[in-house]
Amino acid sequence: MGLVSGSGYFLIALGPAVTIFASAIAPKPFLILAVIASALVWLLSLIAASIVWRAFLPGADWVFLPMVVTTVALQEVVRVLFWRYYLKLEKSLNVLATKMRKPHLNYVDRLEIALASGVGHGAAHAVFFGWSVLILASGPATYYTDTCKQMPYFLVTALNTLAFFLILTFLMVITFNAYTKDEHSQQLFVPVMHFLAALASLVNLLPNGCIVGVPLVFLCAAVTMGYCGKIVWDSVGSSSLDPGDLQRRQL
Amino acid sequence: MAMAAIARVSELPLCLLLLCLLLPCLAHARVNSVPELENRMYATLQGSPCVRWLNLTGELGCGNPRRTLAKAPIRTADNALDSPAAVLVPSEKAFREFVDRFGDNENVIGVLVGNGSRVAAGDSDDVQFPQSQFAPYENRAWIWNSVGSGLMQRRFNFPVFLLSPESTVLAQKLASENADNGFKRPTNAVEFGDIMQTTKSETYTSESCLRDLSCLPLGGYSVMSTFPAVNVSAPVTKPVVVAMASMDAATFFRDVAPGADSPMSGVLALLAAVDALSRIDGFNEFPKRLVVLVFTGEARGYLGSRQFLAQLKKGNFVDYGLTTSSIKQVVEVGSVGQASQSTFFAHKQATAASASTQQILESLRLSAAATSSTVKLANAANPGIPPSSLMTFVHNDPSVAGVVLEEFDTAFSNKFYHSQYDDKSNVNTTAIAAAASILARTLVMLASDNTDSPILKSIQVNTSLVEELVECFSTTSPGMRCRLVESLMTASQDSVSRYVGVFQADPSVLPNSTPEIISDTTRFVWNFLADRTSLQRENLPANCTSVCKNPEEVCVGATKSQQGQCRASATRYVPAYSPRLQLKEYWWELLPIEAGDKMGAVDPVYTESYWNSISIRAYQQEGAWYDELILFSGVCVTFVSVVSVYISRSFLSKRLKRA
Repeated sequence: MGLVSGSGYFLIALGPAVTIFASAIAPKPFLILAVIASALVWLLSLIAASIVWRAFLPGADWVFLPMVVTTVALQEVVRVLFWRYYLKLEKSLNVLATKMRKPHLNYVDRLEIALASGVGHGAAHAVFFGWSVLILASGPATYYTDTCKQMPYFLVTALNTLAFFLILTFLMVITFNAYTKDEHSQQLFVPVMHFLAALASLVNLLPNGCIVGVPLVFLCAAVTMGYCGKIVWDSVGSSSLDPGDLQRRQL
Repeated sequence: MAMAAIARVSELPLCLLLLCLLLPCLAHARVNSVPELENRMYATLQGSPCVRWLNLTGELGCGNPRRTLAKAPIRTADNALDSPAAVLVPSEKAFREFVDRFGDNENVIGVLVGNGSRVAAGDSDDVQFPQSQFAPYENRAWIWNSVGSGLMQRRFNFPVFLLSPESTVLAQKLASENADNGFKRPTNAVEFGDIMQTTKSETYTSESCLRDLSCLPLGGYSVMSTFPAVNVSAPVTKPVVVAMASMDAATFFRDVAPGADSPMSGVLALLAAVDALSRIDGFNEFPKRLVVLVFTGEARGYLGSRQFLAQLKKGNFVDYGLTTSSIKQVVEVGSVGQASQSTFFAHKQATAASASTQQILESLRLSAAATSSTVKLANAANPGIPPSSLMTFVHNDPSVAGVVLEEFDTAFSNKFYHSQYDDKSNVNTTAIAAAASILARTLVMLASDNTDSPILKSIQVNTSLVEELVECFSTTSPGMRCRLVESLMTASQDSVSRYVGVFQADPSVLPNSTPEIISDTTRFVWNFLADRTSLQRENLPANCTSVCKNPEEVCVGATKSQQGQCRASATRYVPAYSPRLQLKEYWWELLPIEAGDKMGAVDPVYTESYWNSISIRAYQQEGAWYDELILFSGVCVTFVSVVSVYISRSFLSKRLKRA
């Protein structure tokens, strides 16, 4: 019944991703481009980290801790650079819009691009970590690791992929809002949450850790989505939506 | 899609960083890459299969009755069979007991036979009178093979595999894990990859599957050689003494047929005798010529001997100096590896011409006496000759002067006739060497028509050659990689089963240039006989890889590391397949029974089904309900996300409008 469970694991891992893509991204071609561009950037960052750490693996268990910490740190640095590059891009797009007598990008547009960038990040993560493993899930066999007898390895992978997709997507939205409004607490929240989620996934290293690790990661996802929802709700409801306001707030 | 493109890009570092965040789960199990994960998930079990054979009336052997792969949780035979299972039995004997009880049970999806030890009392896959329908006498109830179980003649509706020792241990571990777990998910399942083409194409007899191209007839190549070498352009038609043996065996698990005593001991004795004769002079002056024949396919319908005689009658061997009237005497060497105290028995038909046969018997007796062995006439109460290639010659001409030399009198002494256990421990080098001595001297006496020839004194069988031959042909190591074989040819496999195999080529084309379709045993016999019967040349022989320019020469001793030599030898391959079949363009046609062809009338015309690949693997599997639960969960998650996205969007857009 490989295809049955394979499809199931795929839907668990990427069902929400497809839903978000289909409803929020697909109708606007520019956002599709944003997803692809973002995914490429984040994939390159993951590849860079993996090339460096290849030298240290296979290694002792404790190697995973510095590996995770440095990889997340690298990604957070890339995130700041990503934002700065986006601002330059937005300036060029607004110049083009002026020439074409079209309106400039407003805050809602920026949030949509943030969502698309986040989806790109989440997709890169899902593909990098989950793709080939989930392909194995469509075979007839299942697999249980020594440290997790409660859930098949594919289920843990699918759940982790889902949780990280949600976390990374909405962290990007929070990032864009944080740097737009220059909110330091939000700017701090993003790397901290990323670190916490990554460390939570390390709990899976321990015997029977998956019973604790997987819910922990989902807790991080819930907190992220909740925080993001609150921020967006407040921002959308406030009056500071005019482009002039936005211009003044650029970094 | 972009995802696919990204996936392809990331294929390499995928396995690198896969360790990072997701493989924390596997840290203790130390899986270092995705291919390694796949290897952990799927364990290949090493095993030899029982394949699907067919005959004119139906099917034999084993096969998957469905078009999809057979797979089921593994359990041992003592647990109750209440759900579909792959059953593990400890040995072949246990397998027979199991199928007698549960052979028709629908829950038997497949059977794994463990590498159990042999039963001292004996074990044989064949029936008690092998190929009795071909006997040239009425008494078909005579028990030649007392331990015969007849397993080979049965039909099973599920795959059966014989496991190697290591895989037996693994299978036992998997089965006991299942039992300890109460057969609850996840269970260890075994998947049998052996879908038979004849099942897929729904052809259930030889005739229909041959027409449908879903099977091939059993067959191979026999080897014919002669002393002295024949001049093909000017053949001499001297009367002929035939020395023959058969080199194939048939077992239930077709790849595990060592056939050390039956029939290889006879072949080895014959080869050692030819080797001894190759060192003496004088064959040119003898009134009779010696022809050596090593048949294959005898265990599956006397294919080699029947096809040889059919071609002889058609005149195919006139250039060889052989016609139906040439053959004066026939000496066959059967199983001789277990002769106790070098005592052998000469079997003959009552209808054999008395004078010529008497000469053979007398020669045998004198030869034995000269070499401290004994040859006795077989018991007169026997109904006739034991199952042997001589039966074909007797059917052709009941008065043929023929004798079969065997180690037994009234019934087989080989307790492992046509069994996986007929290996080196079942034969005795001394007995084979004694038989070779007797045979060499007998052949000289018969060819020279002189029991007192001075040449007899110089006949010396090389006992170390016999030992080497036994090592090469009855062991798995060194097996066919032994020095003796390697000096003449490079075998395609380390150790060979004596199963005749299927006839893959066009029988009208000599296979010399395509050695890959010839079995290793056959190829060695050809090379050995060609080497020993070739004429000495004055000048250096030409080098060659498979064929020689001179039609009177053959390429002997071509191996992977060295070229062969072109030597003048009349050693050739003779196709061995059922005379009831004829190759028509690219498919085999069943010919009607010829009038007077008694053997053709009872020939089952065995064929083997085509198959793509045969393998077994084991893995953990979830129950079907668990897989469906996962799919349901996935659908729910997606549904919830759809609803959430919809609600969020409507709330946000309302809020946006208000702002």
